[in-house]
Amino acid sequence: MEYLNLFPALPPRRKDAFARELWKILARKADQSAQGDSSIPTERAQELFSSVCYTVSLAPESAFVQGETAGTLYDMGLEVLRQRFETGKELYRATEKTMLPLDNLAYWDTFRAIAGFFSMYRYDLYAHDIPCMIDYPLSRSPEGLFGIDYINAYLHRLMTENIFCARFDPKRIARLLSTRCPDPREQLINIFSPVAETAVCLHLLHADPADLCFSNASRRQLLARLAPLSREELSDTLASQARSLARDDAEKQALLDACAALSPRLRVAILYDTLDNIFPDAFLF
Amino acid sequence: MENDFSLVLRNMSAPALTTELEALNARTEAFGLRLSQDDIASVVQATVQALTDSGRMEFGHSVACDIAWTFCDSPYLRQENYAETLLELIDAFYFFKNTCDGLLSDQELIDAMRAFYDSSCQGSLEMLRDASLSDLCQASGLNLRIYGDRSWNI
Repeated sequence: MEYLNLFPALPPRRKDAFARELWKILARKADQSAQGDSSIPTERAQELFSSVCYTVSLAPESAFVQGETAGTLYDMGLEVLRQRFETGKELYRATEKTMLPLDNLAYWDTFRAIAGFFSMYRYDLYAHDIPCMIDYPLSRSPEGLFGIDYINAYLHRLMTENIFCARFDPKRIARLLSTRCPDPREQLINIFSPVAETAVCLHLLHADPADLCFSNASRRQLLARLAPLSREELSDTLASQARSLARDDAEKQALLDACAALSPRLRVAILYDTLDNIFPDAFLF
Repeated sequence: MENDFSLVLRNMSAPALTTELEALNARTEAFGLRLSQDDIASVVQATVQALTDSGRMEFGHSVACDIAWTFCDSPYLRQENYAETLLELIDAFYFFKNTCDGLLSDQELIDAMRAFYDSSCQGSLEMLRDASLSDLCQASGLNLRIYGDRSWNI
């Protein structure tokens, strides 16, 4: 009964009865899913059971402690999911307003696919499922989340990245992306990361981040500024610039994540005494 | 969780199915058919095994009783071969159930098996096991009713 570890607040004395109650919920869900048939494939039963466990785990901890039945906890979890689902739809509409006028297929296809998620998602049967293709890579993908929780976290992050990028001229972003890969329209690339990295480093030089472009002189200047720094000093310097560039906590976290990813690449580039590969003028392959 | 599933499959299916089959005896006796306690134990075991082999799970009412009830007035079923035939039919049902991939409901599939068993097979379980799904559907006219004029090759 390893699945009971998903409910740490469950009193040990309730475990056996709780397991039986969970299987009863599963039987009800299997019946709903079987559409009149007596049996369902085991894989589907396992999916349904994952959904039941996930839904129950969303009930408040106090309800577990009070010894509520699995059925009651399941209903509480369903209500949580319903609210998050409604929140997700609002979040989608809000994110739509922030979408950037940039021509990247994965960026737009993924966003449209998430609209389909809201038609396909069955939190009463497959609460943990994500029934849509998420191709567009965020600078940092949500981890350890399922179903609507994953989608909401994805949309939150996408909106944060979009809002930051909206501070820059789309033509300059498009030019910047074209220096990173041969075909920014077709490639699965994140838009925010190169923008954030470039803006943070320009900010460090007291240049205008809106340029999103390094000259040879500014690259040499940046190299001279960063080369003497230790690993920790380099990370701290980038983080400090990220904090001063951010306008809210979500943006700050996204910029800090981008800097954390940039820092080791910069250290290698400093060893080779050139930042040309980090901030290239053009795609060179 | 897989072990939990297998365990629960047995624990949930066996007692309920035993009770269902015992109750079914009262109805099939009108056709001269009755399962002994040993027969019932065999049917329960065969059902659990067939479910495991076919990668399926039952949570409530068992299809074994539906099969027994649908076939009990077949002219090819006698008390002497009742239990043995039922075991074979259960196994065949789950095989066909996976083959038809949800296109037929349980009862439609059982009816099709019965129609084929009584007509082309003339009671031969061997022929039934070798049949294709389209053979079964043709025997019961299901292909015309469900799929119209479209060709259907399984």
